[in-house]
This record gives sequence, C-alpha cells and structure tokens, in this order.
Amino acid sequence: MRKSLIFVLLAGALVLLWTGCASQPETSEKAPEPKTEAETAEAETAEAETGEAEESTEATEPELEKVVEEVQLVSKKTTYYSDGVLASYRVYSYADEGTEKREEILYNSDDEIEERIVYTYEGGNLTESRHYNGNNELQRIHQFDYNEEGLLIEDLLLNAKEEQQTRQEFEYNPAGHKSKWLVYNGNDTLMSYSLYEYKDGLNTRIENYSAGNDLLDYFVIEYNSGGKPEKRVWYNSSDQREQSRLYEYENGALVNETLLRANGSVKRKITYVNNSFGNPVEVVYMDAGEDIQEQVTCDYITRSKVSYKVVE
Amino acid sequence: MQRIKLKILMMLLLLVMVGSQFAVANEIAAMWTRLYERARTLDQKQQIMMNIVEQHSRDVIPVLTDALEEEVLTFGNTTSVTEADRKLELMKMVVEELGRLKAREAVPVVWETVQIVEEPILKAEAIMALGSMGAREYAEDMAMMLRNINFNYDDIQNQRKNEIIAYALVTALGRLGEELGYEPVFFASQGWYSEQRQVKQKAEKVLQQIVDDPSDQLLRILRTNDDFELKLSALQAAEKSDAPQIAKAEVAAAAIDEGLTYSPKNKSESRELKTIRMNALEMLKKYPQPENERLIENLIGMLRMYRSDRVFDEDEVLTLLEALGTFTGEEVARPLSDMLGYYNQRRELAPPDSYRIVRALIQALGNVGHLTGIEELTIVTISDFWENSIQREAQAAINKIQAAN
Repeated sequence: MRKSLIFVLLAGALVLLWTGCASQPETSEKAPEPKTEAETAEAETAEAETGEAEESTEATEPELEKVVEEVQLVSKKTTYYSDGVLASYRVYSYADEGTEKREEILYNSDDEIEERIVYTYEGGNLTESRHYNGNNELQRIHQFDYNEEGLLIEDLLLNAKEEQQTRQEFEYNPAGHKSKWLVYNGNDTLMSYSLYEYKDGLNTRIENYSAGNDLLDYFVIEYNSGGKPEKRVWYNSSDQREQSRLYEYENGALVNETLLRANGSVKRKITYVNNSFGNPVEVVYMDAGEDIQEQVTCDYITRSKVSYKVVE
Repeated sequence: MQRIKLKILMMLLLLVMVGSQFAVANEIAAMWTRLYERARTLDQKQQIMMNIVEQHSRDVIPVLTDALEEEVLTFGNTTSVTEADRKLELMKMVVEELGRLKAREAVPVVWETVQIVEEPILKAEAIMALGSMGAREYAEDMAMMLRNINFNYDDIQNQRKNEIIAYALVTALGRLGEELGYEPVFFASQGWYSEQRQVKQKAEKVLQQIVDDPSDQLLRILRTNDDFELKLSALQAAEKSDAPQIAKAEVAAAAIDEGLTYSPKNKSESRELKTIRMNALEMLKKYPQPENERLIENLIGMLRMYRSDRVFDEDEVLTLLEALGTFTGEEVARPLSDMLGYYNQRRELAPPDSYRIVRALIQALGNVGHLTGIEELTIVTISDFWENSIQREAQAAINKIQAAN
C-alpha cells in the first residue's frame, strides 16, 4: 500500500481550544458544540490530545498527509475585578516541543499559589491530572483512558485518598463524534447520561437523561453558513425554553455572546477581543445592564502541531 | 435574637425561591446541576460538587448558591462530628468557587455563612469570597469584626482562630477599598498578631491599596491615641501612602504638634517623641507647607526652646533648621535672624556650642530669602570673632537673599 507523506505547513490559522480564554464556540466538524465560558482543563486537554480536533494516525489509510499547524496555546490567563484590579492569574506550562500541557498554576494577586495542576501523558495522551491546593496538598486526581483511535473514553475522578468520586464514560459514532456521555457515582452506579445528535457533521442536539431514562432537558444548536454555532437553546423536558445563548462573529472569530432568559430578556453578555489568530486576548463578562463583572486577558505562545490526515 | 433568626430565615427562603429559578446554558453544567439537585447524602453531594467546581463557569453559580443555601439552612441540624466536618468541607468548596467566580448574586448567602459558621477556615474563606464579590454593603460589618478582633479581648485559646479570621478580614477590606476599612486594617498592622500568621504584614500591604488618600483617618489615629508607637506608625503610613503631598504635610504638622504636646516620663518616651518629630520634620522638608499657623508656631517654639534650655539634640535642631529653610516670609526669617543675633552676641565671649547649628542657621536664612536676615548675616561677615568659613557661609546667604529680592 502506497504511503506518501506530503508536508504541508499552515502558517497561522488553527486554534487549540484551551480553557476560558480560548472558549469560543468550536468550529471543528468533530467537536461542534459551543464551549461556554470555561471548561475543565483536563477534558479540553484530553480532547485536544485525543484527536477530537481531527487527528487520525491509522496505518491502514492509503495515503496520509502530514500536517504541521501553527497553533496558539494559552500561556497565561489573568483575571481582573470589575474595577480593573488584578484578581488572579493562571500560568500554563507546556512540554519543550509540541502542545502537551504539563502544569498550570493559579496565583492570587499577591503571587501566592492557590492551586496547581500537574498533567501526565503516555503515548501522547493525557492520562492523569493531579490537583493540589495552595499548601501543596493533593485535592483530587483525574485519570483518563482512551480507545484505540485515541479518543477519550473514560474520566475517573478520585479524591485525595484515591477513592472514586465519579466516573464519566464517552462513546463515539463511526465518524468519531462524541455520541454519549455517561456519569457514574462513587459506587459506579449510573446517575445520568447525555446523547449527542449530529447533522452534516455538526452537533445539533444534546439530550440529558436520568439513569431511569427520563428526559431531563435538551439543547438545540443552530449554525451559520460557516458552520459556526449561532444559537444554542436549552429546553426543559416539557419543551419549554429555559435559556438561550446567541453568538456573533467577526472575521470568523466570536466577538459577542449573549445569554438570554426564558422570557428573552438579557441575563449576561460576554465580549471578546481577538488576536490575528482569532483567539481571544480579552474577554469581558457583563451583566444585563452591561456593568462589568469580570475581565480576563490571555497571553499565548505559538507552537507547531504535527498531525496526519487522509489524502482524498 | 428571635427577630434576627426570623429575618435570616425569611431572607434565606427568599433566596431559595429566587435561586430555584436558576438556569444554565450548557449541557455539562445542566447535567451536574440536575445531579446535585437529586443527591441526597453528603457523600453524593461532595462527589458531584467536585465536578461542578471544576467547571470554573458562571453557568454553575446558581447551583453553587443553592447548594450553599441548603447547607446554611440545615447547618444547625448537624449532630455528628463527622457529618459536620463533611458539611464544612462541602461548604468550603462552594464558597471558594463562588469567590473565584466573583459571584455577586451569592453575596447574601455567603454573608449568612460568615455569620453562622464558627469554624475559622470556612469563615475566612467566606469573608475573602465577599471581598472578591465586591460586597461593599458588608464592609462596615467586616470592619467592625476586625476592630473587635484587634482588641484581643477574646479567650486566649481563640487567638489562632481569630488570627485566621483577621487575615481574611484584612484581605477582604483591602479588596473592597472602603474608607471605613482603613482604621481597623491600620490597627491590625500594629496589632497583637503573631509573625507566623502574617496578619500584620498583610495589613501593612493592604494599607497601601485600600484608599489613595488616608490622611483623614491617619490624622484621627494620630490625634486620638496616646500610644507614641501608634502615632509614629500613623505618620509613617501617611508617608508611604499615595496621599497628595499637601495632605502628607498636614499629617506631619499634626505629628510635630503631638510630639511637643506630651512630656516624656522616661528616656524611652523621650526617644519615641523625638523620633516622631524627626520623621515629621523630614517630611516637612520634602512637601509643600500647609496653611497651618500652629505648625510655624511649633517650629519657632522649638527654636526658642533650644535657645533657652537646649532641650533638643543637635541632630534634631539641624533637621528643624533645614525644615524652616523651606519656608518663606518674615514670620520665619525673623526668629531665625534673632537666633543668629543671639549667636553673634555669644561669639564675642566664646565659641558656639555647635558650629554645625550656626552653619545650618545661616543656610536656613539664605534659603528663606527674606531681607530681614540681611542685618545679622552682615554682622557675621564683618565680625572679628567668626571663623572665615562661617563668614563665607553668611556671605553666600546674603547673595542668595539679594538674588531672591
């Protein structure tokens, strides 16, 4: 089987979605649901590392194209109070090469450590994160497991005594999209699950169920012509709208996010100022009256990320 | 007491009613929220809460607020120590995250937590969270709490606990930046706290941030406390602050007044009062003179007291003369000239007690630049008794005065 590797360098462009600053709605076909204000670093790292962002290294493919992308990784996220006074900052450190996040440390405004998270990888996959408090006492551990395709299938949360707190399972459809998310408690009893539906590769509906298969609520996501989510509505099990989120873009990058109550009134607004890569460098959270609640700024480093894709 | 309890209960019921209308707009937050609502045991709640706080999302503020309300409402019902510990652990996790999220909407329930909880770590977390949330409506209550802890009237076995709470109060008051927080934080910086707990160090740092111009508060501290160390600390705090120069000079003027009002009972007090005056004089050298008649009276009074009784050390008089040299006008030039006249007369009989003071006096007259000084300075230059170096100094002062006029 002929295998030819074509080296392609993409200058600028792609973004690794990483914690709060890089929290704009995902545009990748494989992970289309919008990320909200923040997601756990572990899950994001796991997604990034497991190929939810279009990475396939299967040897059976007839022709693979080596892709080297310039990606931006958040190196520092600084939060400010509404009056602009420094509140805290989170510093992210990575492996000398590539995109593996190795550690993140949250400092308060007095430069004292409040939280530290250490990440461990095996074979390019994030396998464990250990969370410490400001006194360097272990608080909790996440252990991650992957399938043969490198997709995250389990996230086990342990307390400091290494006792199971929760376990999350992830299932995927043949296209590699997340199709089911299951949550188990400390006794490994199923507590709930979520089903993900896709249309043209885009996640259009998410349904949350109880362990007894009762529909609890669901989300409907609408996209613009560019494949970016522009509306995300949350309904309860009686099909009544609970809340919705609207997204606005400029030059392909998210610039405004509006959270609406069930009656359509504005609950919160988030504005984004983006850099040339389309990554947010400043995020401002405002209440309905547009009074600032919090401001966040992000610094990035640029790294090369190597992946392979099938030549069509 | 009964009414207060009823008020708290009513408020919490209202909060529960408002809180139950919460909503989240992402499926992860929604799912964890639903799971938390259905959790029955503290174990289950803790397991789910661990996932919720990891979201670091404003979407989970409602569930965090509800969770805290529930624990606050049932706080008094806990009987077993283990259960109480778990409850505290859960509440601490929630309060910490609400603080990080700067969740303004959770202020009332976090304040309730402060009021009902005695365990110092959780109480301190809740206080600091209120600071992060910008809960200015409780700044006065927190200032009062810190004031009471500063008094150290509590049992000695509560000192460690009180230090933890005091640290949190100092931090929160610093964050809130309300003027009424300044005095208790100042007294915390001077308080009984141990080195290990860092309350004093934190308070000293916070003093620089809490208000731009703390001169009113410092003047009150300086005037209303008998403790000389406190007076000195207030003066030093003014110097370190971002107050306008004129405001710093006002505090210095008040410190001079205080430094002269008290009669020292021993050498230690004498040293402390001198330090206050010296610090104040150094400040007056740097900052523009305030319109303060009492200040000039005090400075001239010091000069006269030295002349009559030598009540001050040479270094203090030198500093005094340098400070006087920054003034202008006859009201200062006249007493300086009189003092030089006194030295001129004495020089005919004996060398002065301090050539450094004479030189500083001549320089001060030159710096004041008023013609009143010319006569005595001229006598120095034509005197058969003064040394050449002193005469040259006097000639330089004359030149300076003439140039200024």
